[in-house]
Amino acid sequence: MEAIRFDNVTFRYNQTGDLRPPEEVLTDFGPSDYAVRGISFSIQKGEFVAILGHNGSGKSTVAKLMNGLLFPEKGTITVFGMSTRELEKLFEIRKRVGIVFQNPDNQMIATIVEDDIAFGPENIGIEPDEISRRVDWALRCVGMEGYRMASSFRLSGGQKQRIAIAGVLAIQPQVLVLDESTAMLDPLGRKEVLDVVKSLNKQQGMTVVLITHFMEEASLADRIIVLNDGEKVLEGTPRQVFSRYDYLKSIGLSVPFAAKVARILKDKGVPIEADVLTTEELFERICQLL
Amino acid sequence: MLRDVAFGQYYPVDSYVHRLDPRVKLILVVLFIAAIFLSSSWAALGACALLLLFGVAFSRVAVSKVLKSIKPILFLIIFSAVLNLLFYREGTPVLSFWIIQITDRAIRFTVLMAVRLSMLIMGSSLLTLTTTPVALTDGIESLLKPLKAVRFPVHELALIMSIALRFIPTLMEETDRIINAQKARGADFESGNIVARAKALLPILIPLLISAFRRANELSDAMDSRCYTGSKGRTKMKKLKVTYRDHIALFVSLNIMAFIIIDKVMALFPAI
Amino acid sequence: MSIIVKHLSFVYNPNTPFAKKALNDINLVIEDGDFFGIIGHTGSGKSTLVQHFNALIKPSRGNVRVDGMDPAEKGADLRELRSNVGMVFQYPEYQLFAETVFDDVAFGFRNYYKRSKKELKRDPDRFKAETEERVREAITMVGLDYEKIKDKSPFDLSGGQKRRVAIAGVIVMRPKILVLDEPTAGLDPRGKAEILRLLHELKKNYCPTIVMISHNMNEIASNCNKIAVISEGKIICVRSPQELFSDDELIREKGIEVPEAVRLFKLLRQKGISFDRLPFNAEEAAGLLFERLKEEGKYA
Repeated sequence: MEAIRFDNVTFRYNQTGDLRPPEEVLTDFGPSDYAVRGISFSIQKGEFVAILGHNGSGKSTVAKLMNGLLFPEKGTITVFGMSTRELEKLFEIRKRVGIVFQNPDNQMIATIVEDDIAFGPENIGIEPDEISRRVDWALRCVGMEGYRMASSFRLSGGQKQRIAIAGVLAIQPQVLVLDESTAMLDPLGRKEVLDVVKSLNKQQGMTVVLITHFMEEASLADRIIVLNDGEKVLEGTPRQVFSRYDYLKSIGLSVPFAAKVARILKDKGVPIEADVLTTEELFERICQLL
Repeated sequence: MLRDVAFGQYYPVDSYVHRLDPRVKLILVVLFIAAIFLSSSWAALGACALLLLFGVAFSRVAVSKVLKSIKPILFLIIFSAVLNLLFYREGTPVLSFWIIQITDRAIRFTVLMAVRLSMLIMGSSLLTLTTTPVALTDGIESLLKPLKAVRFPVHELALIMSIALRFIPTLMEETDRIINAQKARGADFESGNIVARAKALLPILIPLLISAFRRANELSDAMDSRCYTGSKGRTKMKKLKVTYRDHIALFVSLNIMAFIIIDKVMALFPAI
Repeated sequence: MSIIVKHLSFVYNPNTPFAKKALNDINLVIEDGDFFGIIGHTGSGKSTLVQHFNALIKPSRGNVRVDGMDPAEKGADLRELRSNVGMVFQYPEYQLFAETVFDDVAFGFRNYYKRSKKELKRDPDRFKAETEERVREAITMVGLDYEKIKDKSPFDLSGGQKRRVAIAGVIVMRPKILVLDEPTAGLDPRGKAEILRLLHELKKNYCPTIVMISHNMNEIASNCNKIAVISEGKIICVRSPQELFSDDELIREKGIEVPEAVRLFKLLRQKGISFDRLPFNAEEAAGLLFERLKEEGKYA
């Protein structure tokens, strides 16, 4: 079943007089009017898709288009068969597509963890007892059972971000979008969040859209969509995408360590395939050579 | 760290006072404050103190924590005490030198005011120590509900308060960081006249303001994403409910306050 | 210019219930010419430690000597010290405030120059010219086009440019030591690489000593000559990257994350394929592997 579909979507910030985030306007590559240009793709239910791009490539704009925080200037976005342009469907769309943002400090409404997680279910009119059950369930999903009464400002970055995920989960969405949600975390926090996301996808079949500029994170996905200056430039499995080292480098991105080593060796004439993703895989291939 | 002294710090234990309905607590605090200022005899003040003592005892909040709440306004208390002592002229002088004259009534009044202020602060911080910000704003929202009839945005106001409380520690931390960063660039906030000092604050205020706007923008996106559409069709996880606990607390408090009022009336009409 | 830290301890909120020991008996020497890395988990005390280097925080016990001077001593010239030890905080672009890039970068220099107000009154033109020269120097140094950017609002720049402007705002004081807290945080791969390249250029031509806090092990290992490991407010060790990442026991015990290149070579060693040194990034790893393949007479 198709969860989200972008058909030839184009968007620019100044069309409605929005405050344009400067990162999206003036990239190091020169100004471009459009944050997103003619993008089409489709995400199936249960899939884990990564959207990769340098800062200012339009990937955060894509996230906000997904649940009607922004509306396309041209083209259509369909979420479970509903167009984001139909304003009366917006509520239903947002119930199905939850977004976790970059800065954990800027998405919490309440000081106490349980109050914050309850915010979403309260908005959609769930009964009080059921909300309380959902808070427990959401905290279990992100491995923070003991923190129901904790104050948010006493938590670490990774913990805060897991609470933010729980806050979205409590609405029981079909799709979880993470808009650079690990960018401000330390390696430990990043790992905590990714572990949660992976298990949600694998165990509960949650559709995940992971927006990132970390290559290692993107390689966890089933499929990667690469954006550059508002356009979709590559799409494929991590193996396919990360075998394009030279191209990715030219648009300000990189590839995971293993793929890079294999690529350099291959260029020097060593018979090794460059489509490796993990260090373990690379190790196996080198053992065969030596 | 600044955030540790942030206003509205909830003390997370389970106690009788914690479990009281926030509306009841709010009403009690308002009545308590009124009672303090009605009290003009030592007996009445003693009754107020007794009420406060009950509150602290049944809240399981560390006494030191409650006492410490006075600290931020200690200066104010001392300042007003000095003024009272010096400029309250009624009564018989007990001490006089140079142009200064201190009367017995002045001493009495000074002590009275200091005790009143301290109790006021302790009483209201007991409220914030035992009530989560959300419960507090829920309480205010519920108490103000009648105003909805005149289109007063009760829900919005409550939400704004709750968010403000949530962001105090975050913004304080940020202020700390910006101050340090500008100090590292040689900024000087201590010397110069008032104009120079006000100007020196710009490198702190501007980044702080910009960041607050950025945060507000991101927060509104996050709230929209979490299906926020205002108060319509909204439920609450915690339904406010008045229980026997609240009845007991109200009963005890009202009795003490009745005593204070009677005491006041007796003082006004000594003949009765 | 060196930094010598002796028996430094620091307690947040001393004598209160919130008292928290952030640093515990730190001893450390940062020598002239070091590219000094500091690693440790969040909350280990790294940021608290470096804020002592220019007296933003004063020690609870022990002392810090910068170029032989103790900033905690009475009469110490803090302004002089703070211009010598430039401090770039995390996400420095969040401190930009002025109307133009020029004024923002000039801020530090103008503050520093205040000391000689009399001189300024005597010769305002010279001060203006000097400011312009220093700002031009700093902006050019961080790889931006002075003429193009100086009159722009700092808030109209891209994320990477903002960060460079913020760094320029610190190096305009011509620090001898530059301290950076997570200078590449939040940047994409190209942005990260550019900032690191910039740091090496600065070190070569401008301020000879650099101290960098980072969570990114690849970055620390491939750029620093010494690495201090901090854990729970204590220095665990100060080593060269080769020494540090060769010490398997320490890495296991302290849960230190290792660069991917190191992880690969440890796997190879377990298989009996060992090398006399460790690589810290893909280029080095590929280089070493290629040499070995050549030696073995395979594929070359």
